[in-house]
Amino acid sequence: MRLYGLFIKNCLIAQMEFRGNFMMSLIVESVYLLAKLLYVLVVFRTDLHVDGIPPEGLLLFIGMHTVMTGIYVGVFFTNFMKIPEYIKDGSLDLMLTKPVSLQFMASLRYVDLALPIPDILVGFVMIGIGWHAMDIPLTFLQLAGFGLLLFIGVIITYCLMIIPALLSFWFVQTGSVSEIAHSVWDANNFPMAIYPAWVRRIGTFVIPLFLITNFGPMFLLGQLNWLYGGLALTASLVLFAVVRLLWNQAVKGYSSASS
Amino acid sequence: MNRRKLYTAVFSMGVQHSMEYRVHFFLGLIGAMFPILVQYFIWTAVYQHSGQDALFSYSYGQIIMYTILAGLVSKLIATQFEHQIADDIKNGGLNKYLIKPISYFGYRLISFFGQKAIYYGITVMLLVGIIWFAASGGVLKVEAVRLVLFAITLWGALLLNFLIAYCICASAFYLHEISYFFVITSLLVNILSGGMFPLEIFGDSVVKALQYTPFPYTIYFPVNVLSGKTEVAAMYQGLLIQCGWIVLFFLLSRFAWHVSMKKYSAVGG
Amino acid sequence: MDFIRVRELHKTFVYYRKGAGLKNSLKNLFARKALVKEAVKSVSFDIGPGECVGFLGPNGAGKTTTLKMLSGILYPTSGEANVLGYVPWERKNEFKRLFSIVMGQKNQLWWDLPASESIYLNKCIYDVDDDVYRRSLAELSEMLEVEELLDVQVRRLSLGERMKMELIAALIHRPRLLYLDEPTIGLDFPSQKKVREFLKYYNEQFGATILLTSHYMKDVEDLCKRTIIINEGNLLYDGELHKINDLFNEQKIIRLHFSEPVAEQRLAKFGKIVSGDEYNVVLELPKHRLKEVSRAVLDSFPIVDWTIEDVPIEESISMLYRKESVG
Repeated sequence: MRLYGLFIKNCLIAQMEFRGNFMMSLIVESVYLLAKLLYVLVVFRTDLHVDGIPPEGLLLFIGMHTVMTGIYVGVFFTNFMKIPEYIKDGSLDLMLTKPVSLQFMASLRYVDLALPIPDILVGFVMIGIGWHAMDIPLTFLQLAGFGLLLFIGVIITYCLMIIPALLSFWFVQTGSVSEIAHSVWDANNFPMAIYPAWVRRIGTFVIPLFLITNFGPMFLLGQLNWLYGGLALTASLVLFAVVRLLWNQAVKGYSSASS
Repeated sequence: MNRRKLYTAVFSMGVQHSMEYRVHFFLGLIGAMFPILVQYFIWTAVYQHSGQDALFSYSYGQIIMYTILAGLVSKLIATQFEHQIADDIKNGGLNKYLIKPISYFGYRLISFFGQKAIYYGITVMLLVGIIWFAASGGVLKVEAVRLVLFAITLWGALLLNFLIAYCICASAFYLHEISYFFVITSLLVNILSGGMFPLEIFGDSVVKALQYTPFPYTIYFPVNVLSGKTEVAAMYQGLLIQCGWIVLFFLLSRFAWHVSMKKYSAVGG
Repeated sequence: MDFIRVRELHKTFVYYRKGAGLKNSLKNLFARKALVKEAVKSVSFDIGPGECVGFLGPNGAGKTTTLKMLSGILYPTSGEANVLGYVPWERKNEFKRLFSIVMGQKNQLWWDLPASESIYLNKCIYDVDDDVYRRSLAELSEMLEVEELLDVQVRRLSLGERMKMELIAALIHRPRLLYLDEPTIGLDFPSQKKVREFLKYYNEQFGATILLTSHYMKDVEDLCKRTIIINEGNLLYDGELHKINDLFNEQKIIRLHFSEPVAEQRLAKFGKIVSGDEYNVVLELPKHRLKEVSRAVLDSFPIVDWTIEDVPIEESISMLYRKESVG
């Protein structure tokens, strides 16, 4: 995907143009991160054990969530916020005439390089601490499994978080919906074990939110059996197909209804 | 010119504006519910695990109360006019107020209250429900004094938060890229006001230090007045301090805007 | 074989009317009344290769909607179209590589980057060979005289320069068909002229087919031999621009200048007074009365100067709009 490389390059140049903004994005995301770290503070000050996992182990979950948030704000967030704009101001029309997948153009065009830096950095540090503290061996198998689950998480993130943006094909005001989506997103900050069973079931099978950040750490802690791993993989593929279908439906509606 | 008539008109415009965005507000409330829910589950796990009756000096019931009330209050007092004001300053919208016989401060304040009036009503109804529920569950001892004081401090919190935000807005005269700045300050203010967690989680020294800042008096203080965590004596003292902060920030905002306006008119925007 | 073939293209869309106030909002929630607007009623035409066709009509006539259907952005409600052997709304990538659309009010250039980056992006999107790309870029930027500006951030360019960059970006893959939706809107006269000259050159040099909408009559007059006029979704006229006047050729315009004040009313019996004061009067009258009126006016008024003109094209077109479909 040479095109994607070019997108990234262009974004990089554009962002270098405004160093002030770049710094500001860094700071904004750091403050959000700070808010998230308050949870870590609570965990350590109360010496919280969830399901027998000590605070250090919980860092694996919080760290994974932080990394995922970084990836989300860096790669998807700007694009998903822009899709309603494209529809409103008609930029989508021009994209429709390009011989490249419209979904690709519209949903992955922008990459923000400043926003994810603090999240990814701190997230991986947390994972590192947790990894070390829980005496998890650093083998290729562990790394590969974790990496794969991280990747699956990214795909599910894409599929779930693009839905509010897709709604803007049918409704005018979708800002609040994505706001809700963002506050639900943070439910992932902790291992799902702290939620009652019915919440866990909804979050796993109805809206597979918990698949995004829970399975990676669970795999490392040896709590994940192959059945669930397979489930995550299938879920991500099915979701991707569904979103693809939805997208096509939306564009079809767009081009047969608008003026 | 009849001032009262003018401000009534501005107030009712604020009310109408909030009616326009009512869907947004309700969805916002739903959005605010999720962090509260997440925190509810976290605290439940924390208290179950620790087996202690009180953590950070809060009992289980109290902390849940705090979480819910703080979520509601911070939604209520949230200001959304920063961007409008910054826009007015940057794009010269301020000029149309400068040439009119109306004070910009008065206009913003009254329209802010107008926008909040309905939400205040809704929040009160929600609160009545929550208080009733909590009282029947034995978590909360309802005292008339506290209810009255809570209602007063809530208005105070609204006013104080408005003034803080208004002061911050004056920085739009000097800073180039302002929207980031607002995101940062509003989030920080929210954390320091106890909007996310009770301030006690930071440790006693931090709580003590924060007592000398205006922030706890926007969320932390009103909530604790209602929940009964604040002692009776401290309640009145806190009310006085809140008033003090309001006066101080009123003066500060007048001053900051006075200076900035002078510069603004001198440069010509 | 025809290049573009459009048959009875028809496009309606549904919209909802909402009364003001809360009560109406609630009412809408339960029973919305769907209203149907016919943007394009029934439009048919053919365009051959290398033709340059102007597409005229007042705002809301259905021009842009038609262009959007021909570029595959919109599905028609009914009717068929064949563009370069493809059905546009099937949106085949092979088809997309053959044409380009430029909209005067929308830009595809990246605001904060030099235009050359956006142009390069389009090269990648359209899979243009390196050689062809280099040659096209040099050629196009030379023709538009913007070589030095390629590496300047788009936001620093003037409106005219930006439009030129848009054109380069749109033409970098050498499309055989070019749709232009008001390409000169908001530009100053020298820029308009430059853009027109460029388009004319591109049309002649590469044999590209151009379909252009514009509100500036000059754009169409200079560029397009053939004009298609639509209004309210109907095709009103299809033919040479200057022949529009033939439709109304029964009318002529006489301009009169007097040496001393003349009461306007005295001229009313000769024809319709379009405008005038005591010294200058503009008359519109049927062609067959021209001789007789001229003689009478010259005899009985203190004439300093006088001219006879055709009705301006703009006037004819406005008349056309009012008259609805003609033959």
